Amino acid sequence: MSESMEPMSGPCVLELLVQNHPGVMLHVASLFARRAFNLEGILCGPLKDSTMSRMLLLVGAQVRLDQVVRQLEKLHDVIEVNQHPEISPELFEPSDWRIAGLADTQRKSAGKT
Amino acid sequence: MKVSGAHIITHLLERQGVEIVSGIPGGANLPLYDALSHSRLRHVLARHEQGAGFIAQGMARATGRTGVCLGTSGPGATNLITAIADAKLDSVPLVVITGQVPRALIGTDAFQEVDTYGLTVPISKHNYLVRSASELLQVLPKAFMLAESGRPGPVVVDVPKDVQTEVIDVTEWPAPGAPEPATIPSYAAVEQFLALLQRAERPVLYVGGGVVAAQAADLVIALAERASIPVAMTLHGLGVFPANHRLSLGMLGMHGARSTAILLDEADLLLAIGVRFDDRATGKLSEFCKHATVVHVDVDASEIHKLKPANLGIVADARATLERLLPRVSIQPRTHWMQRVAEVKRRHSLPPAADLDILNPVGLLHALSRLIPASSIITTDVGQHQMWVAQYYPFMKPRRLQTSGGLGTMGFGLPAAIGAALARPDVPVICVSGDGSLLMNIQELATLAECNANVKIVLLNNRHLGLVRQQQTLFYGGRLHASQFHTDTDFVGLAKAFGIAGTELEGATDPHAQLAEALATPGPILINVPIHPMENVLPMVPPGAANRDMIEITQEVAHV
Repeated sequence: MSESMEPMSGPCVLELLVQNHPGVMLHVASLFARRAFNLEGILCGPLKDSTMSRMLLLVGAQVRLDQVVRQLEKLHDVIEVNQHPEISPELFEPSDWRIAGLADTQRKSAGKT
Repeated sequence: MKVSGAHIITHLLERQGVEIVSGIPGGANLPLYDALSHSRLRHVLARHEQGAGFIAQGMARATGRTGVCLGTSGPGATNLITAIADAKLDSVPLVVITGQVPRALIGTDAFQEVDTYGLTVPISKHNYLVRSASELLQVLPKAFMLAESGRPGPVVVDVPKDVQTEVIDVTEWPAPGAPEPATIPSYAAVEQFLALLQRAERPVLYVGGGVVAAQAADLVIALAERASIPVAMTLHGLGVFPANHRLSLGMLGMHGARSTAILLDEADLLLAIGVRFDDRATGKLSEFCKHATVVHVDVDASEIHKLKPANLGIVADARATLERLLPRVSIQPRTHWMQRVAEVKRRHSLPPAADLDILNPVGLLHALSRLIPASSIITTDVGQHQMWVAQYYPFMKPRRLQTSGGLGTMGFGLPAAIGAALARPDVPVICVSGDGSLLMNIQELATLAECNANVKIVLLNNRHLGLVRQQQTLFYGGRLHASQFHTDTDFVGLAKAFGIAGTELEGATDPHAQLAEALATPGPILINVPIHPMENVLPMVPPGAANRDMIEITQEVAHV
C-alpha cells in the first residue's frame, strides 16, 4: 500500500464532534472496517441541549493516522476531528470500568460461542 | 398548501431543473410514481434497476449535472447497488431515491424490506433514511448539493412509503441545492507549484477525471503548450488533451504505450491533477515516476498522500488552481525535453492502426473514428474492447468517453449509452461493447427500443470473456477455463426480437460500407462484428509489475 516512510503510530485517541442522528455511528464504524483501519474502542454520547454528539475513538496502532483523520473528515456527519495525544488509551480499559452489574459480563459472554 | 411527501419529491426535482428520471416502480414507491404521473418530469422505464442506475449515470456523465434514478424497496434497492458503487468509484453525481417499507414496519423483516441505508453507507458519498415528509424539504436540496460539490458522488435518499403519503402544509419551498463554491488554492501553494515548474527540466502532466469534473481541460492544454509539458491521461482523463496533439502521451498504465511509461520514468517533475494514483495507472507504485518530484492537486484532501507521498499537495479545484497558476507561467521551450519526447514517441508509440483490417478490433475502431463526428459520445463496457477504445479511439474533448473505470462494471455500456443519448439528443452515441458485457444488461434493449434513442451498438464479438481469456493465456499457463462461450448467440436476431435493427458483419462482402450504412441509419441499431478470439490487448503490464516491464507484441509469443 503506502510507501511512506512514516513510522507506525501507537494507539491513540481521536475526538469527534458528530451530528446526533441514527446512523452516524454506523458511518464511522463502517469507514474503519472498509479502509482496514484499526478501531479498538468507541465512547459516544449526546451533548446536552445540542443536535450533536461527542465521540472518542481508540485507534489502534496505525501506519497512516493522517489518512484516518482525512477520511473521517470526509464523512458528512462528522463536524470536527481532533487528535488527543494527552488522553491515555487506558480510558478504554474494560477491566477498569467500575459500573454496577458489569462485573460478570466476561464470564456470561464466555458461554456463547 | 397541503402536499404529500411524494409530491414534495417531484416538485423539488422539478425546481432542481431535473427533466428526466429513470427507474422502476414497485410496492414501496407507488405513491411517488403516482405523483410522477402528474408532474413535468419525463420518466424512462428501465427493465432492471441496475439499468436505471446506469441510465442516470449516462445522463450525468454526459452533462456533469446530477442524474436521478428511482427504485422500490428490497430488490429494487439491492439491484441499484452496483450502479451506486460504480458512481462512487468514478465520482459521478447521482441522486438515488428508493422506496422503503412504512416506518412502522422497518426492522420487522417485512415484505421487500432491506436495510438500504446500511447497505449504501460504504458505497455512497452520503445517504439518508427520511423519517418525515417535512424532512424531505431539507434532505433533497442537500442531496443535490452534496452530489455535485467538491468531488462528485452518489447520494441515496431512502423514503418509507408512509412518508411519501404523509400530507403536510408547505408554505415555503426551499431553494434548489447548488454545489458549494470551488476550493481555492492558497497563494503560497501556487507559488511553490510555480517554483517547482520553473526549476524542472523534464516535467510530465498526469491528468484525470478531476480535470473533467472541474471543466479545466482548456487550462491543461494552455499550461502544457506554454511550459512545454507532455500530458499522460488516466482512463477518465481521456479527452482532456487532444489525442493528436504532439504533447499527448495518451493513456498511461497497464495498457498504455511504452513511450508513455518511458517518459514518466524519465520525468523529474510529475504534475498530478485530478487523479488518484490508481493501481491500473501506476503499476508497481514504488517504481512509478521514481525520480520525480510530485505535485498533487486534488479537491479531495484524502487523496493527497493516500498512495504516493506528494512533495507538494494542493487541496483545491483543478480549474481554480490552474486559473491562478497560468497567468504567471512563462513560456518555456524546453528544447531538449521536447526533442526527447518526440523521439521516444516516434520509437515507442502504439503500433499504427491505419492499415489494419476492419474486422481487427483496432482497425475497426480506426474506421469507426473516421465515420462518426468528433462530437460523438462513446460508451464502453469492460474488457478488451474497453482498452482498445482507450488506446486507439482519438478522443479530442472531455465527456466523449463514458466507461466504468473504478468498479469495472460489465453491463455499463448499453444503459449508459441510453442515458447519454437522452441527455444529448444532438450528438451520436456509440456503445462499443463485447459479447460478455452486453449480455449483462441486455434487457435494456427493450428500454432502448421504447425510447428510440439514437444509440449504435458496435459489438466486438469474440465469443469469449476476452480479457479473462487473455490473462489465462498470459499468466495462467494458457489454461483456459470458464472464459469461452460454447453457445453462439445470434445478437442480430436478439436485437430484432427487442424491436431494434441489427446488421451482421460476419461474412459481409464489404464490411466497411455496411458499417458506414448502419452508422448513418437514424435510430438504434446493433452491429455485430466478429473478431478473432485470440486477439490480445497489448502492451500489457502484468498486475503488480512496474509499467516499464510491459509485455509487448514482439514478446507475446515468449509468454504464451
